[in-house]
Amino acid sequence: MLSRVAERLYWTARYLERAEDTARLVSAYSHLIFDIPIGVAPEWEVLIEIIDAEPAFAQRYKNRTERNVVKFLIADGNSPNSITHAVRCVRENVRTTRDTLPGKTWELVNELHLMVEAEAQSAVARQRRFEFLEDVIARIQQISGLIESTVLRDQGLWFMQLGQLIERADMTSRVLDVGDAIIIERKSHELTQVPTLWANLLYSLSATSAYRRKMGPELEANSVFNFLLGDHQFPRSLLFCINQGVGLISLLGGSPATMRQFRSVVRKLRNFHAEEINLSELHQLIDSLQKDIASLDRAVYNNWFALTLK
Amino acid sequence: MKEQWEDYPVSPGIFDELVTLKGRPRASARKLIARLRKFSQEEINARVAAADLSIREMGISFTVYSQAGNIDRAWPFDIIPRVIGAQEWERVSDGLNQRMRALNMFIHDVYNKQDILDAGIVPRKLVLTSAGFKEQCVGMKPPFSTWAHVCGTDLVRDQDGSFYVLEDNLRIPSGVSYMVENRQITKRVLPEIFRDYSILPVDDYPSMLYRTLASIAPGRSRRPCVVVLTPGIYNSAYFEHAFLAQGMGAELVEGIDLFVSDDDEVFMRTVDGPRKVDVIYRRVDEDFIDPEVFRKDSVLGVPGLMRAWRAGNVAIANAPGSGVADNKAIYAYVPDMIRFYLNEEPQINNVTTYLCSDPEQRDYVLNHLPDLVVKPTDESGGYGIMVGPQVSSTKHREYARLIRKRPEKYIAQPTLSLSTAPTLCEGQLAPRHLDLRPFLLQGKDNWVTPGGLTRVALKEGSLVVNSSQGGGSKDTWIVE
Repeated sequence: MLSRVAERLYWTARYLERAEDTARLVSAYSHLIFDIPIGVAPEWEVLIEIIDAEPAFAQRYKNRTERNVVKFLIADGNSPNSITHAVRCVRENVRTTRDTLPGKTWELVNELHLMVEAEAQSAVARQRRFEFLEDVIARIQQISGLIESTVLRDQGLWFMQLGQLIERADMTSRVLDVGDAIIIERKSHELTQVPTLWANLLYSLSATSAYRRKMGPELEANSVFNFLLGDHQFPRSLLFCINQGVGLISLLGGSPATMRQFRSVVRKLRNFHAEEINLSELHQLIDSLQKDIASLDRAVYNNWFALTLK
Repeated sequence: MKEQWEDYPVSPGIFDELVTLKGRPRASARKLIARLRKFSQEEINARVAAADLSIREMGISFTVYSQAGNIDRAWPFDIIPRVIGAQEWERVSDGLNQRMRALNMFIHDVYNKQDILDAGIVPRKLVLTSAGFKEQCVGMKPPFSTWAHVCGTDLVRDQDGSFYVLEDNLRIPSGVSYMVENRQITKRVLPEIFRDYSILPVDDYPSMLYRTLASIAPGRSRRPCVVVLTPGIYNSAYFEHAFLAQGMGAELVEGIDLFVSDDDEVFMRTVDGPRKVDVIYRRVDEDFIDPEVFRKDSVLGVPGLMRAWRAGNVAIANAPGSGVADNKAIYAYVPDMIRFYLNEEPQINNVTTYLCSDPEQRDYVLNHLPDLVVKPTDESGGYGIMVGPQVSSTKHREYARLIRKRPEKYIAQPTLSLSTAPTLCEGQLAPRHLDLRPFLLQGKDNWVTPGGLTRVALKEGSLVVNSSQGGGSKDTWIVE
């Protein structure tokens, strides 16, 4: 497989996952806000913080209103953080690798693109929002399902799976970051709404029922962190994602250096126990995990995509 | 649509593909028209809408350079197929094979013994000074003495109903993917008509192309590594490059994906390290394929590719230098080539062609500009063409000046009354002019697509069918 094509497949999967995760995030956060009385509810700007997009947002919008934030995340084609942008990138990457994917993939991606271009604007308003986001999620799952069930089990699929896992790990870590940010910010207040907060964060990762089966019905910070960082069975937990990554690196014949990097992150996650650290340390830990994920991405790039082979 | 078919205008002096001068369906189109007549206006509108939808969904897109900001544009498609009888097609197809063989013998001869130039049949100066003649190819002997492996030949039908060759595209002809996709769309929107006919399938083109390319691979590998070399996503035919790569199970590569080693072998950069390439189906213009040899500023090519080709370590299709036979002045000599190399009479005729480099023919052209079509010899894609009867006398004077200045750069042909076929224009049936581009393959064997790509000039009265000039296309049926 060409290095250039491998890189595009990797990014196709990353952007697909990003579009889906952003849809889940906006949907979950909208639910959260609707559930909490006005005045107590966290601000919409938290969503901008989750994705680390404060400067980009400030450049384009003056007020951090619901409308602007949701528009920024869903419909603003010029914003690199929007669903619209992610879907355009998916389409461009598939367009330029369509010879390596089943023909139907291109058709589905194209349909997704047409739908998003036509509907995203009107989904900024609350009444059409959920329908749109659910449609985006369903279509992306259809594309993933098609790829999963028809693509050859070879490098092409492995690079896509790697891209998906890294993006997923990244998004889970960002969602957890909101959790700890809100807790820190509101420590002084009475946090009667905390269970709702955790419920929605779990919901935004489609983790609710898996959490209940594994950790019981009670929602509290330590269990949520233990589950989303260190559970070895939940497919969106960091440990699960990076551990899968180790398997893919080995299938792909990655260099010892790349392997070491993945393994060290796995160790860090296995050794994590929320009970043993305090809130401010938690925040730092998540920060460092986000940096780790970025360095894994770089390791993959250096190992396979950089055009220096000769 | 009964009334529409009854009112369909046919004019003497123009051959219509589906309807005779008496207004009756031609034999091969009878069942098609009988079906279409039964459709109500709503029904036909619904079919057109279905076709538009499937085009959008299949993402058939077509790029025009000038529309940089808007790189996809739906390819206009007319749902009414063009029908040709199988017996007639067999004769055309024999004639095309004959022509392709002669053209390849000509290219091989020009770069080797030059018998045809010594015999004075084609003027030496015309060949050796044309932009398509590449010094670097002299002495090369590619497998089966074949240089042009893929050719898109443009055919037109004149008022007498017989086919003429208008052009041989031997550089990097495009359009074959639309031929295949058009059939898929027709199957979706007019499925019931396929029950009435036995239509020759067109979807095996990519495997025939692979077979042709594999036959010219150096070495004896059972599954040679074939790649499609594309200039990239901004090229107007990128869609097709991807389509063909996918159809052949080959890698679609850009110049940066390839490199040439010190011992003149070509490799592609893969995630497992370098992999040797045996055959390159090149969709990059030859002037750009190797900055060591041709244009130094090219970023699309692969430095050293010509070395590898000359060393016989990689096959390139079409071979560099094939363009020498793709020139509108050389075209005029193709019938003579057929006689010279094959000792046969041409089975398909050329359109009468006046070479402006010849003083006598030039005088004729200058005196008859309003009746003639003038074409630059080294252009393709319909650029720089003057259709005499359709432009003002200012334009005639402008071309007279151009011809006097660089006579060898122009040829002229009589304005043909291109055939028409019923075409839906905003729901109404109207005659529109069209041509036909079959695709020819030559490696170990020769092969011609059953039918080809029919291109339609969608503007009323227009004779320019090029997709880059606002043309559309139709499905083409060869029926038993």
